[in-house]
Amino acid sequence: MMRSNQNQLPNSSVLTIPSRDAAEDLYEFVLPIIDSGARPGDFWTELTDWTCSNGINSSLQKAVQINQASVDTHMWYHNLMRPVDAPFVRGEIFTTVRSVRRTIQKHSPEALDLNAVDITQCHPKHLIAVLRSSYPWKDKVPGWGVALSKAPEVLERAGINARRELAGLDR
Amino acid sequence: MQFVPAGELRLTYGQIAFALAKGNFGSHAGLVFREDGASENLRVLHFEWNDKVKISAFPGQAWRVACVLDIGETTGESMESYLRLLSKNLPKIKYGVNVDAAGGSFVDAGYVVPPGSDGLTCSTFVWAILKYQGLHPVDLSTWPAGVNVEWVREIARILYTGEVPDFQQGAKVNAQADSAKRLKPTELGVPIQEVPEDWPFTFNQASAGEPAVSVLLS
Repeated sequence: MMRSNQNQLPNSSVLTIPSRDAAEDLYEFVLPIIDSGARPGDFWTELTDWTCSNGINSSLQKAVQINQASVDTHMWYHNLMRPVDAPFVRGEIFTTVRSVRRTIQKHSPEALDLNAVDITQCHPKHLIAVLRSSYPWKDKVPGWGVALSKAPEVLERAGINARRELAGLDR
Repeated sequence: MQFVPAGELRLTYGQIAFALAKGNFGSHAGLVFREDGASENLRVLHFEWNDKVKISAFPGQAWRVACVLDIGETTGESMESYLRLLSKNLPKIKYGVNVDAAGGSFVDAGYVVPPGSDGLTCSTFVWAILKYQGLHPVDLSTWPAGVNVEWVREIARILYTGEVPDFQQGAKVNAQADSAKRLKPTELGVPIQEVPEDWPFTFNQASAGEPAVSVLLS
C-alpha cells in the first residue's frame, strides 16, 4: 500500500455503511488492527491510502466497499503474518476462514499463494485455519504441500499439539 | 471424549460437538456449535430430510446426547467458523445414498453436487462437512455395499409418497439399492469419541462400538 498523508479523511466524516454484512466486515477488519496496538487512526490512514493508491476519489461509503474487497482477499495473509506474540483476539480465525473461502470463490485457489509466504514465520493458529479451510483445494493452492510439511515445526515451537491440529490433512 | 446428555452439553471457545437424536431410520445426527462464537446459544446444523438442511436451537426436544470433538482448539474454531458461514446460507441438498460419489460435496460457496452423487443422508452430511476441513473419522471404502436394500427401498418409498413427493429423487435413490453403503449416525458416533490421530475407523471398528452408542438413544 502507498502512504499518502495528504488525503486523510476528515475526523468529522460520518461513515455510511451500506449493509450489515459490510459493517461486520469492517468491524472484523478493524478489530485485529486495534488489538495489535495500532491506533484507530492508522486504520483510516490505511483506508485512505488504499483508495488513493488506486486512483479513486470516493466517498467514505465507496471506500468501505473497496476496503471490503481488500478484506476479502488479503485478510488471510494479514492474519498469517501477524506476530506470533501478538494478542490473539476471539473472532480472528473466523476472518481467516472466511477470507480463504472468499479468495477462492472470487478468484481461484491459485490466488491463495502460500509460496509467497514464509511459512516458518507464520502465526501458527492462522496457519492451521488456512490449511484446514483450503484443504479441498490442496492440489491447486500453490505451496500447500510445503506449508503442511513445515507446519509441525511452526506449531510445536508455539507449544501447540501439531499431531492433533494437523490430523487428517495429509490424506 | 464421551457422550453426555444433550441438556448437559457446554461448549467452550473453539469447540464443536456431534449430536444424536432418534430418527426415522433409527438415529439422526447433527453438529452443534456456538451461534456467534461467543455466546452460550447453542445451535445444531443437521440434514433433516430431502431439501431440508436445518439450523435449530440445541438441545430442543429431540436431541438426546452429544459428544465434544477433541480435534484441537484451533481446528475446532476453524470448523466452528465454517459452520457459522454455512448456517448463514443453508444449502438445499437431496436425500441420497451414493456415498462413494459424495466426497467433495462441500466446496466453494457451500454444497455442490459432485459428479455421480445423488445427495447425502444426515450422517454423510456430517461426514462431508468434516471431510471439507480434512477430518476423516471413518474410511467409507471399508463399508459394505449392497447389503442395505431394504433401507434404500424405504427411503425411496418415502421420497415417492411423502408430504412433498420427489419422484425424480426417489428413482435416483432406488437405482442405488444394490450398491449403496449405509453410514449409520450411531456408527459415526464411535470414532467421534476418539482423538483424530486415531482416525479413520474401519467398518469393523465402528460397527463393533456401535451398540454402545445406540443404547444411549434407548
